[in-house]
Amino acid sequence: MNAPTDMSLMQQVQGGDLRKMGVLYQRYNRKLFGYFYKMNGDAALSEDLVQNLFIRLIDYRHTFSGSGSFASWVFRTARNLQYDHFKANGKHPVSYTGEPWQLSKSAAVLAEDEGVREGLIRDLRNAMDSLPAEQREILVLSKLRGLTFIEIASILDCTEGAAKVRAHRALKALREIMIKTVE
Amino acid sequence: MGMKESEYEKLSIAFLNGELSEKEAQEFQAFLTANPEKEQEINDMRVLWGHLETAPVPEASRQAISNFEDVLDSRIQDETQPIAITRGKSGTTEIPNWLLAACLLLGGFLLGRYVFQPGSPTEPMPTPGVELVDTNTSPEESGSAPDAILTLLEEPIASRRLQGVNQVAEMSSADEQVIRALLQTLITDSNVNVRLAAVEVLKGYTDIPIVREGLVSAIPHQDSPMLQITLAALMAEIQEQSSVAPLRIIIEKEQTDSIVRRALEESVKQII
Repeated sequence: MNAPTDMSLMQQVQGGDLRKMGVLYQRYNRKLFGYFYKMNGDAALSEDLVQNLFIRLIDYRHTFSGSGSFASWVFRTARNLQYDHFKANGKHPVSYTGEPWQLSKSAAVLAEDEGVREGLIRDLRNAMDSLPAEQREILVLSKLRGLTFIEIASILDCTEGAAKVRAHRALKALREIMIKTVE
Repeated sequence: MGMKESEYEKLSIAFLNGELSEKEAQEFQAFLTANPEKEQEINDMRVLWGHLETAPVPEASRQAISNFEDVLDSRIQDETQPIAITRGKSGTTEIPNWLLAACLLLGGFLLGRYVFQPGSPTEPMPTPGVELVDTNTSPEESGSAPDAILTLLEEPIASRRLQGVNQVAEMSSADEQVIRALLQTLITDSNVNVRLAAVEVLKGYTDIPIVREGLVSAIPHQDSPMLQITLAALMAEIQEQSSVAPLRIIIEKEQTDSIVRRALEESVKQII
């Protein structure tokens, strides 16, 4: 028997069967936690935001029209929540403190040397934190498993092409941060 | 081989994602070969793109999952047992008990964690052991007077202000001074949950002109999408024509979130 789709579960939630929100929570909890964590770097805060998000989804279940995917609606709501939180508490990009990287020259070494790879991942996280929130967000969304660029475009309210252009520019900005002192 | 910059930007992500057809990928590679700077850029980007998802993310704790299950159980229970409270001039209004429960849960759960983070410019850290309101005891029963509610609404700690709002919700009818204080809370309170709770209480008094005027006046002060959508939906519900202008201002603001814009447009349509 096929598992019920997100859409059918959400329709049941709208019909008053709130227990189905628990199933949706199981499906999306980890992904949403990953989104928040990569946006704010705080695990405890991210857990709170996921819980707060699902409470909002219950409160505003009537606003889900079904015209887009459930994932798009959830992530749009998650963005609002993240926006509300940082509007109230403020978070500014930090300065990059990692090493300068010669990225493509490091490709072969990265494949073989775990220490170098760990260093890159650490500096990459630092560089992500130094990006403006909008650029960090498009990269986080782009790399969330299961989200297509069509859905990302719906979340950001733009075309698929525009979402890809934004992702390119964010990636380019990330590259510039990490190679800056080499050139 | 030439290519517009925007086309290159769009194709580069599809190329890195392996979404291009064989022919498209060959053409893109030929463009890169003819443009060494772009080739270098893409090679660097490939390294970053490949490692972006490998950054470790901790697991959400079992406690968080258990907490959500508790919240869900509580909501299911509350929604199946709505309470009715008689309002002064408004007649009988069903107050969503789940909202009060959610506010309490959220208040306890969130305030200590991040609403009052150390260093917050507006809020002190909550005092350990602060008690949340007992929703089973009405202000009349507990001897609370409007003065006590007014004091609570001015407390520096959000859970106390939420307690004040919840006490108004439990009153059979609130006097003008309390209503005005709630309207002021809706405009000036720094906490979204307190403001949301204030709107829910004020919903029961929308047949009073100062409440309708106050709700409309509060619209331009809301920067939270939640509050903007909630107020717009309420304006549509009570068919408040004077709210159209401030709602349109939010709709036209460039920084307004798209989901908020759509919701507000829908509400304005319903009013007109």
